[in-house]
Amino acid sequence: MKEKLERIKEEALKQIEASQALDRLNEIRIAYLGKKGELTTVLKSMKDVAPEDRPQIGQMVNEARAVIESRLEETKAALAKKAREEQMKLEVIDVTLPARKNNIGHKHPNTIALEELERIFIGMGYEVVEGPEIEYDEYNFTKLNIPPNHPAKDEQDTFYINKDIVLRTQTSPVQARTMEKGRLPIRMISPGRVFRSDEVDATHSPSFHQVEGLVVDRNITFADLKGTLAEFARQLFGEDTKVKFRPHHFPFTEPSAEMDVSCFKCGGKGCRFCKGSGWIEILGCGMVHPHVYEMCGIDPQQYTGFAFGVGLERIALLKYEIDDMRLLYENDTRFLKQF
Amino acid sequence: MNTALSWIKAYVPDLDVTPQQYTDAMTLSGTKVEGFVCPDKNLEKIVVGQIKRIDRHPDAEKLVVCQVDIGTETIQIVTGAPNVAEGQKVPVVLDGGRVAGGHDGGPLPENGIPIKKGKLRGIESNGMMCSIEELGSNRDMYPDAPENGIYVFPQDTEVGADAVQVLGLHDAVFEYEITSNRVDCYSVIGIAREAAATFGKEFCPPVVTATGNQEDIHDYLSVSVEDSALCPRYCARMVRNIRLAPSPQWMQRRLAASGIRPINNLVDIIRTAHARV
Repeated sequence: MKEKLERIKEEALKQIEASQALDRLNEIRIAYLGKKGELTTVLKSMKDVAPEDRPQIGQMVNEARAVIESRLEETKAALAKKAREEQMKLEVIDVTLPARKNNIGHKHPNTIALEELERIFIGMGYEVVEGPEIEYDEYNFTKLNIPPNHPAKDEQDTFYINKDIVLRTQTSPVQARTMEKGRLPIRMISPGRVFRSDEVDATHSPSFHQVEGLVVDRNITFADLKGTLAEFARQLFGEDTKVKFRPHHFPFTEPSAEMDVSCFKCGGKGCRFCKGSGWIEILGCGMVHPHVYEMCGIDPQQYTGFAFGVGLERIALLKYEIDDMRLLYENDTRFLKQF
Repeated sequence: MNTALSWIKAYVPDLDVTPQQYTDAMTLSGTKVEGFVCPDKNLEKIVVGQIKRIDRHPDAEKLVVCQVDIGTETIQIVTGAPNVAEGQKVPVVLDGGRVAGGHDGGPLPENGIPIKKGKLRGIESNGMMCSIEELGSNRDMYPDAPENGIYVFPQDTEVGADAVQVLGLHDAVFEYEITSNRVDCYSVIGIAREAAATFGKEFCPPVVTATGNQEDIHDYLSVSVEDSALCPRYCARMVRNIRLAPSPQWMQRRLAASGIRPINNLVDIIRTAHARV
């Protein structure tokens, strides 16, 4: 009996020594100490042993069991530690590597152009005002002297929400809103998004941006309009820029004009950029129509003023020589980074 | 909206400006000219010639050799045109001249096609007789042009004359942008009035005098207006014994220059009046 126990113990310990893996240890545990294990079998066969030997055998079995168990624990701990060390070696981080870069965006050409415009006009004492993009038909057309069924309403293809509410087709409604507030004199610019039902192509988009300007005061004349816009053109395109005003028509200004600037690429000689004419059209303007004043509650006998509207994308496309407007709406950082 | 300078000049007789001067001045006075086209841009050294004699080409079945009198001399021209006949008066482009395009009627090259004398299958050819397509136009605008082949002038055309002049192609056609507050400019008379004012010249609008006999139109027609709100005024004039025929050349040229296809005298009169007023 005693030898048998010794033998079992030796065997178990040898196996533990030889084992390399944790699950092997588990197997050994089950093999020797489990329900059908060797030691347990011996314990079960205690009934065959003489009663006076039982305490001694029992003690020996427990001793053997203790030794095996402790050796198992030790080996298990050693193996686990070894495994951990291996893993740590694999997972080591090279702390000398450079950090992952943060992707920062870039200012959009529209924003750059708008900031430039704002800088120029704030420098002349203007304030920046904003208005709603979804606008009443009244402010977008009626109060700007474009009554219902007027042919001018066909010229602009408008998005209607219902018969009284539209997506604004121009930033001019902000003029009517500002004038109605009643605080005079007015010197303001109003940038914003406008909407027209156009097919998308290199120079058109259903949604684009304009900057509106309005000045209302006593004794404002067409000369003030010309001077202001000529100075604006010089600030934006260069000191040598010349401007040309051509008669035109808008329902909310009288007289109306369109302004061209001398082509900054060829200086007015004619090139591909200005299509050979030497001039580039940039904005529409005019003296505010008396009907518009009346509808907004200002006395046209006391006050006069001028207004102008310029396409923001047009300025950005011209200044940065981009030839396709659609590039401005893709928000590709590779494109934006160039400005 | 397109008008030809020649039609404007009919109502502003003292107008004498280059197309570029016209463009600049009209734009600055309020009638924006988007651009202009000169139909004679790529036509050089083209005269009216008369075919004196036609011989078969010895080496080519489809070619003939023509002796063409161009006024100062008679030159030899080889052609493959199917409609040539002795006695015809045709447009002849001389050596060193230019035509607007090829006779297939395809898109016109930017600078036209230069013409040089050369040999066609071994026989010398000193010029070329032109189809209407080679002159930069088409049968829509010149309905009397043959379907295939060389353009033939009326028999009373002077030999040696400038063919471009005879065809009415020395002109400039302007395209305008008319704003909605100036719809009076959607007519030739409106533009002519603007041109007269811009250049300070006399404006001579066409004067229409009533013609007719003393017969009462009610003997022939009766009309009643059922709704005077929808139709405030109805006028009618009766013309009898109409014979449909091509319009005179000057009327055809005017319409063609404005992009309107000449059809026959009746249609052309209506379209002329419509464009004019």
